[in-house]
Amino acid sequence: MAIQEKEGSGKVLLKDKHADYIASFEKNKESFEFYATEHFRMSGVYWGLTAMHLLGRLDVMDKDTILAWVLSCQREDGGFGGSERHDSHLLYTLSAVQILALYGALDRVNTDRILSYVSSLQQEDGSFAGDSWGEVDTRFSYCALSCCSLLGDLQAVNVPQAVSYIVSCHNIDGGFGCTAGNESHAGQVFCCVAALHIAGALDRLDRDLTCWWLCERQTKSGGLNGRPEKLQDVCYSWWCLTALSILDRLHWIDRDALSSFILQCQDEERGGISDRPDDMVDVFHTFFGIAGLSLLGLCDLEPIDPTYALPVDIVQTLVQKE
Amino acid sequence: MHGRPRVPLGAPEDPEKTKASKQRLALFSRLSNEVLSRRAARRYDPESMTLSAKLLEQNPEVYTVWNYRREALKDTLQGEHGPEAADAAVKTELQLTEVALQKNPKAYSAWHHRRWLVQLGVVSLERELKIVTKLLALDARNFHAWAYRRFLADRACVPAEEEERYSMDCINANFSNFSAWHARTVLLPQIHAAQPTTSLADLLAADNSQPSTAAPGRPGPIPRWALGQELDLVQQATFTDPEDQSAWVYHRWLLSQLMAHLTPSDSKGQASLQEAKAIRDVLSKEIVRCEVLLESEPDRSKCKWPLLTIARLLELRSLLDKDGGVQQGEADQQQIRGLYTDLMELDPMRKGYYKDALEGKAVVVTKPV
Repeated sequence: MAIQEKEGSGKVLLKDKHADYIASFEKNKESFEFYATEHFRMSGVYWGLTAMHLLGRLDVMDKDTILAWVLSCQREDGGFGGSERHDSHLLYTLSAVQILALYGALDRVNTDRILSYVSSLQQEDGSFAGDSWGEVDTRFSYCALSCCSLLGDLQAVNVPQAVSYIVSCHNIDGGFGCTAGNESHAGQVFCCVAALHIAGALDRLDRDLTCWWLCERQTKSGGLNGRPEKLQDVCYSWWCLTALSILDRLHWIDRDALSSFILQCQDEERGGISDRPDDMVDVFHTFFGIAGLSLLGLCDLEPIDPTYALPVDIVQTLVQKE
Repeated sequence: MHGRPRVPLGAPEDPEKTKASKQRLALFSRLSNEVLSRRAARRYDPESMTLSAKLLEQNPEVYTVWNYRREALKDTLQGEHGPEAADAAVKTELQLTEVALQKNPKAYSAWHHRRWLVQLGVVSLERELKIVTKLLALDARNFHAWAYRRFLADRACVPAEEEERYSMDCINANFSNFSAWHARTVLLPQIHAAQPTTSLADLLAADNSQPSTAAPGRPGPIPRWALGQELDLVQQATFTDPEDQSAWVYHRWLLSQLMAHLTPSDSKGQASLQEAKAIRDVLSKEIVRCEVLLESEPDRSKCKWPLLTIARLLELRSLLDKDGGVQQGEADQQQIRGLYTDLMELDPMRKGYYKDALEGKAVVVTKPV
């Protein structure tokens, strides 16, 4: 297949610039952002590394140092913190597991300790708290199921109950909210659809309804928004795209318009991708932009798995298909 | 960075700004180091609490520091050091979360801290409801604030009718507030589940001692008279701005609620025939409404929503006719095909969906959630 780098806007994906931007991010310890993002650095590293893998540049990164750092963030309870000085949380536990999976290094951790941390956060109604302080959110249901599945033991948690909680957050528009009764949001739709996919429970969804809501997220700009009448954003584009892909309805949106929107969000001088054209870039949007293009099968990128947000080959090795 | 404009490369540096940002970095890094090392040493003295508050005011998402405060203050908040100390601590925490949420109204950690205080039972729910009402007046789509409001209303046992009136006020202030429309989809079934049914079909079915069609533990559809009121509300909104999708997404739900009034085909009797006729009348009325809207809007490119809605209404009407053994109107079928074909051109981004709908491969109304 020909390399389809040029899309609607005539813009190309500036792979070298994005790789340089990601590689330099960790070195720039003199920026306010470096400190301000310390508490979620584990996710930042996961976004950066996965983007590098998709670009075919993972070898540029210092694997040994990164792995040692990840392992240093594991807390006594078995969970991982956002960085060395932070408490364990499901969000960063999943990011840590994803990084280890990306490097094929899951054998370097005691899997049982992580699994027991994850299962300790499941509540009576099947939901998951993000940490021992009790914040419940369907994002954490996804983190928990994804973690357990990547670690090869989905049964470490109560899957039917987890499914029943997620279904209780299903709204009349086909989307999902952060807890039962709350408004649908594209990020939450990704989490719930992917979690149901992992649990083998996609039959609990009305696919047409969910996907119709998702395809209505695409705005005139080509980008997708997260809720009705809100602004488009590269990260929402990814969340809608993954759910549409899992539910086999990618053809319900205009793929050329979306790829063109993502490419317009590149900082062509310094590298990196932003939420919308001409905004400041960050690693988060750089990853979601590149991942979106990968899922669309464009720009000759390594393929990404929409459910686990990891490279397809890694997921194939780790997750047993039914 | 969400919504922060990019600075052009080579733009002249403002020495004042550079200096200020260096100072900000120096202060923030020192503060982080100080607070996190005190946390590691489990220092819960007043000075440490002041420093941690300063950090959270600058960066409300540092969850570990909120954890630190909860560890340090839990006993005091629960009155272990006397009622005065408890009151003062509650006040400080509420103020801090307010400052944090002003800095970042989407800070999950700050919202959670406030919720945690409520769960401890040390906060006035009434006051909180007033605060969240004010916040939503300024930031009407903030889903964190809506979630917090729902959490408070549940705890305070606020009647669903009261919250329904609030959502109506929000919609009257701005038809484009989908968060408020969404709230109605949660509240109306609650309100009507608690009320006796007014559907003739249901009454007759009950007479024949037939089992209810509603699944156990799940409320049935909201009554037709209430759906009528909601359809009127939608009409006001869609005639004000036919391109805003909020009311149209809500309208789809109303249609699925309407169709849920159909009794299963195994109980075909007088009652279900009457019900089917009543539903058919509502569908026809809605088709006319959309047609009036189309006539008032000469610009076809702004007509996507009424066109799509007519297509769906026609689909539902032929479904009813088919169920009732009436011969399928070929004219309706042709119109449906014409509408989807038009939509593919008018709204090409969703061409794939319209094509599937045209071919009967996508159904989004007839299966109520």
